Amino acid sequence: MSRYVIEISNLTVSIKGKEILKKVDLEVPYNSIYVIMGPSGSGKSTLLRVINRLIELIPDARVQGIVKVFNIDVFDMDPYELRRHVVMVSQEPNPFPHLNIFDNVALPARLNGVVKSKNDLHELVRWALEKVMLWDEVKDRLKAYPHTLSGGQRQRLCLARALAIKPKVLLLDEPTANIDPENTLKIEESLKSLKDELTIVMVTHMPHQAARIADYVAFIYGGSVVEKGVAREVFMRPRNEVTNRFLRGAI
Amino acid sequence: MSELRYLRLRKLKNALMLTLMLTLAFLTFLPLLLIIGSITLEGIKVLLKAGVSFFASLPPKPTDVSLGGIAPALIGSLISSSIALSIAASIAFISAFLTTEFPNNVISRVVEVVFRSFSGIPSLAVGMFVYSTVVVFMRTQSLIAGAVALSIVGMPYAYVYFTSALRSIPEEYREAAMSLGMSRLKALRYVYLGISRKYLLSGLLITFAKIIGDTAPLLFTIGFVTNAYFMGLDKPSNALPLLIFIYALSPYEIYHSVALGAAFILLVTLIALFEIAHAVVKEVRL
Repeated sequence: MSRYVIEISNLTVSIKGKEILKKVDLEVPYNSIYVIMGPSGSGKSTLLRVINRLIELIPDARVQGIVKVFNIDVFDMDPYELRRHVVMVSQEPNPFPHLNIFDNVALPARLNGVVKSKNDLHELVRWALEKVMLWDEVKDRLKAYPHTLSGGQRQRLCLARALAIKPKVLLLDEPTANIDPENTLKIEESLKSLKDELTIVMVTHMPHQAARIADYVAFIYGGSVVEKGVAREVFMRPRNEVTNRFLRGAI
Repeated sequence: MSELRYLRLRKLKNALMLTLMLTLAFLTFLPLLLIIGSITLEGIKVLLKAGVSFFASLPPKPTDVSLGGIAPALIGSLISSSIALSIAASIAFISAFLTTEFPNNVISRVVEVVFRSFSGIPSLAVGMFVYSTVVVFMRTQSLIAGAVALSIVGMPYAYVYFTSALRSIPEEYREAAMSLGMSRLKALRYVYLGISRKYLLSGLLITFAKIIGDTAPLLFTIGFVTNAYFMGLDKPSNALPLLIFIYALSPYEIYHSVALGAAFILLVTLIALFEIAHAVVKEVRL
């Protein structure tokens, strides 16, 4: 068995003829927080969307190379099965507006058969909301709708919704880009506490966030992986000048 | 000083334009108000005279004194419109789902073009088409033939409203549903339907209004039965707009009254439907 949950080799992606990712190689070890950092437009989000095959919803996208999850080529897997185990949280908080807070967390779990009984479902929702430190804030108004929550709370709700499916891999596409520092810290705290249960791949354009939570980092620039490795080493001794400039905030 | 004059001028201009706008708005609505007003006034008079039996009796003969009722047309309209709505809405909905989910597919594009150009075909032509196929085949005009004609007329409306309802769902919720492992059908059932329920329902109602109010497709297809309530789906029947059309053109005073009463009932039914639906279905706040 491979020690990597995700293995990407020689991945090239083009959308409408424009190369977004160029010959990307990446290995994500089990139960780690792997942060992919890079400036906006460097292809980070596209990379996440290849891992869970959401890229297929983008018209005119071409994918070459091998992406393996759990040692299986994702393009040999059933996409829905894949996305059940490799769940993504988007940059914009997008809780389902027609469902109340409880159902937002419960529905995907129910559809994916995570729990058997109603009692278990209740427990699961509570567990997920506690994991993202939202339970205390919403426990008295689980029947309220998401538009009554703040942006940061909504994003934590989305995270809880994803966790309730009990995924093995969590893909996070700049989950804190649009929310305040307090909520950002809460999200980072819960991510750290989740490491034992799953593997997290997170995309960010903020090097200091990567420094706070990453075990491993990869720096992507212009669609190519410029540098990757154990987070501490990359931050302390970046081998590449471009990485250095990014870490200093010059890109 | 000049500044004050300028201000006064602007206020004057504002008042002038405002009056103009309100007058124009009023003029726009005037014909509608007149139609609704006259139908309501005359219709209530008829209903008061005919009583509850207006809903349950057969239409009168030209020489009758009592107004009788519109039961055959009421029954025929309800049945044919319900069947037509179920056919039109289901086909339109499946097509709308396919074209929004697979917009670049060749079939989707063909379906889209066909439906959109279909709404331009005169409904009389649809009636003639159904006559030459269904009616000729069955050798009789029938409720079912009427329903088929109505469904063809209603389908493009339903399709246009359903596609815009599904397209109005923000992309981020599609992505959310997909990234949580939902299949397209599950996403439709649990997410898209919920988010766009208000639009979908409006589409359904507008289609129903179109179907229940259209006369031309029924002219050659449903028949015009006035001496029986209901004879079977494969037998001729009647319909409210048809009754209104034929009776209004007839030379008999008593038929005019019946037509007015029927028009009023049609009007009230539609307004009530829209109001109820509006009250029952809650808006989704994004």
